[in-house]
Amino acid sequence: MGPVSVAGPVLGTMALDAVITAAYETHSAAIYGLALRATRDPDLAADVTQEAFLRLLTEGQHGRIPDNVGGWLYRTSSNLIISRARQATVARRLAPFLVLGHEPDGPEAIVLGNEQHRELDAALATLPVADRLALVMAAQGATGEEIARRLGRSHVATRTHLTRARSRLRAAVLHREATR
Amino acid sequence: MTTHSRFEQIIARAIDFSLTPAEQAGIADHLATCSTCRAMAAGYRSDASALRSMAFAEPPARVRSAVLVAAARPAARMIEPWKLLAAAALLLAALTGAAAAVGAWNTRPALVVVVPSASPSSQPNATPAPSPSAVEPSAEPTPFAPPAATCPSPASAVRLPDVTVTAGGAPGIVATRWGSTTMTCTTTASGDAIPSSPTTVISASPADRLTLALPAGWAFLRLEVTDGATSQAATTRPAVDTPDRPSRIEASVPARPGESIVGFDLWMVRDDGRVVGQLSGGVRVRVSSAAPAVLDPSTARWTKLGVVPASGALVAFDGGYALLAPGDNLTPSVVRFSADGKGWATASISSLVPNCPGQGPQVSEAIAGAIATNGRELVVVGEEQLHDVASCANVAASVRPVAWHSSDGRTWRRSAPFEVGGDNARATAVWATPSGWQAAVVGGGTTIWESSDGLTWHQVNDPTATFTGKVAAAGAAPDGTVVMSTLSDAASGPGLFTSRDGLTWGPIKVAGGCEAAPGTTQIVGPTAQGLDAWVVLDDMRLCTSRDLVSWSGTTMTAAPFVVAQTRFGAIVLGDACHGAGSTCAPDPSAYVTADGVTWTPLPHPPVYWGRTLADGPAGVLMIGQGTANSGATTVWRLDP
Repeated sequence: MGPVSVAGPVLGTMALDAVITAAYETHSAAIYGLALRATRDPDLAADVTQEAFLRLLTEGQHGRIPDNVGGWLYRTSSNLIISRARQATVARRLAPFLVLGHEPDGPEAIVLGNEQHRELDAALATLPVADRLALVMAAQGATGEEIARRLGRSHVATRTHLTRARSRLRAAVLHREATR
Repeated sequence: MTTHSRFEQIIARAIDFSLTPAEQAGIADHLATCSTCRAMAAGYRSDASALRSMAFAEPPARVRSAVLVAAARPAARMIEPWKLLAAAALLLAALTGAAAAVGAWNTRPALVVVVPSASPSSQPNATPAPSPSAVEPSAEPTPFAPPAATCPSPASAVRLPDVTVTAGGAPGIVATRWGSTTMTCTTTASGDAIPSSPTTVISASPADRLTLALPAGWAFLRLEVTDGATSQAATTRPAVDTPDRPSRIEASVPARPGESIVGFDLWMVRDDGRVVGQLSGGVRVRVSSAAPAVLDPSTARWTKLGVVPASGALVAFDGGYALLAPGDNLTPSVVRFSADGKGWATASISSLVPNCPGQGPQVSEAIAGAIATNGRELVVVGEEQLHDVASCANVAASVRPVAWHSSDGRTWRRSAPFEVGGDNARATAVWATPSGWQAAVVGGGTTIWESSDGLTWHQVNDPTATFTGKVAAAGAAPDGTVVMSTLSDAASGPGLFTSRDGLTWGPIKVAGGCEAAPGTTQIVGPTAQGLDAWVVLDDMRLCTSRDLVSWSGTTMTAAPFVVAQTRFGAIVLGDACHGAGSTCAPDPSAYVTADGVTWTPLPHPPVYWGRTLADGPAGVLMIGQGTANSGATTVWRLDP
């Protein structure tokens, strides 16, 4: 998947701002949802989302709008989420959420709405970031192959990874139920 | 591998991938006979289905705005790498902004006060007496022996009358009664023992006198007045005896501007001498200051006072300024104190402990979250976590809310962990109340806790004070009214909630467009010396209200994320380019309002990240960092 020019076949004659606007309308809820689930931090999720789209804009300004904008956004935001999770400065905000089974801490709770979702969200928080990304992408409808591409893994590895993530999530949910 | 775990793998894989025919047949057979695995399969399906319903979420409006505005810009600029690195600093700014949101306000002399104008009195009790007995306190308190009630006793039980308090031309108010003792020549009866703060407020200017009045048929024998910002921290004025038995008696208004509690212990006697009573009670008095501070945005400038190691959440109190750097898992929480904004003394309020066997101290055992002041004292709340060195991890369910208290910003005492039941919990917001402090604790829902001294805390056991979501921001008014935004609530979704006392809460349904509150970053309460109105920052919007009923809302072009009450009115800091690693240059801006409606641009010092703002003894200070990596954190004073 190589970059194509703004005037290329996919985008036709669309102006860059229209491309970005369309990309935002189409993908922002997925990217923000992914970041929110993976980070459990609404501010950080918003920043990751914003940065992913602004990086897309920068690509466009250099004539390099990717032909699969959604895939590019997923890959970029996944990388941002993973790298942020490694940064000490971000660890101050993430670490408590990563380590502990806290209640949901963000507007996602609008979407959550019920006890089961809250429990699941808290259980999700106990999983490694890569597991969360894989699970949320799957929940957003991505195929195993797409997840593999976005996370930069082989298809076989992703198959194992996703299955293991589901088991870990189930175990975490059961653990929370048992210890409540 | 046991049979169950082998089937579990297949069940887990079946959620995302198609099974081979052999696997399909095997699992179908097994599920038909194994209820454990049927339940397991249902659990996996339930997880997947719940995840699907949680997978998408609308980002806050500021993200949309930043992206679309950047896209509409004609210039194609390169990303400057330092801006990407600045993302973390911005996150810190958002964090400290939220922490500053819950700081109560300092009250100091010579600051502007906006007091609701007093309407002409129509209450009979407020009519000035022809010649009230003006009594100045005597220097030495004298032992008081009340006269004995004369006989015979009244035929029926007598209740001591209410005390009406007036100031200036304002309507009189009935003082809140705390307790009373009634004596006749044969009986002694105590009643009304209500240990509460006064609920009624009276406005006064410094030149006014407070007049206490009894209804016809009763007279004062003695008056002892206390006044303070809270009833706990009140100072007692010398007692005055009134042997001439007036029915009205005067006292000076509190010297401090802003709201005070004026309490009194008084003795009274019925005109016929057959009933003598002692009564305690009080009122809230809101005192304006004479000369409002004036700021001319066209000539105002910022003067650099010095540097400080790091930014955080700044609050001001009588003694100076306290800057909370909340810390994190790797960095101890620190409070820096300065009397003048120039020199800063550092106090660590948490310490590092070893993470793993054989390692030196490296993880923090406590993390601060928010700071508040009542003008004299400071309280920080946060969390304490038990760490298990052997496993290099936090002990499960070991995070407990904790608080720190200081009277001077330099020396801090730490509370015992709050007695929370159940899972991990942390205190995320704190505010001063007329009788002490309250804090919001997140964990198993959000609950409200209170403390009279900042060190011993108990939960407010009112079901309406339990929220399912996190408290995003909270602000308090001097009279104890609190406004809080939660990110979720089972009944009504995220929103603003208010309480007169922190105990019973109700939603604010309409708040100038900020009521949905998904992006609320900060709430400040009205102050006597600043803007006499609430300010709520919600994403790109800013809403103000004096009474929490009538609201005014403004959509800003810069995302507002810091607001502070100052002697010049409310000052809001924003950034038109708020967000991580953007292609636009930092565009910090500041606005001031004296009326809560008109926002006038102010100059801005060259600081961008981690900005925080407070008005204290050395003036209005702003602290922030120049650039993400290289810039020092500097302290600036606003000079009108």
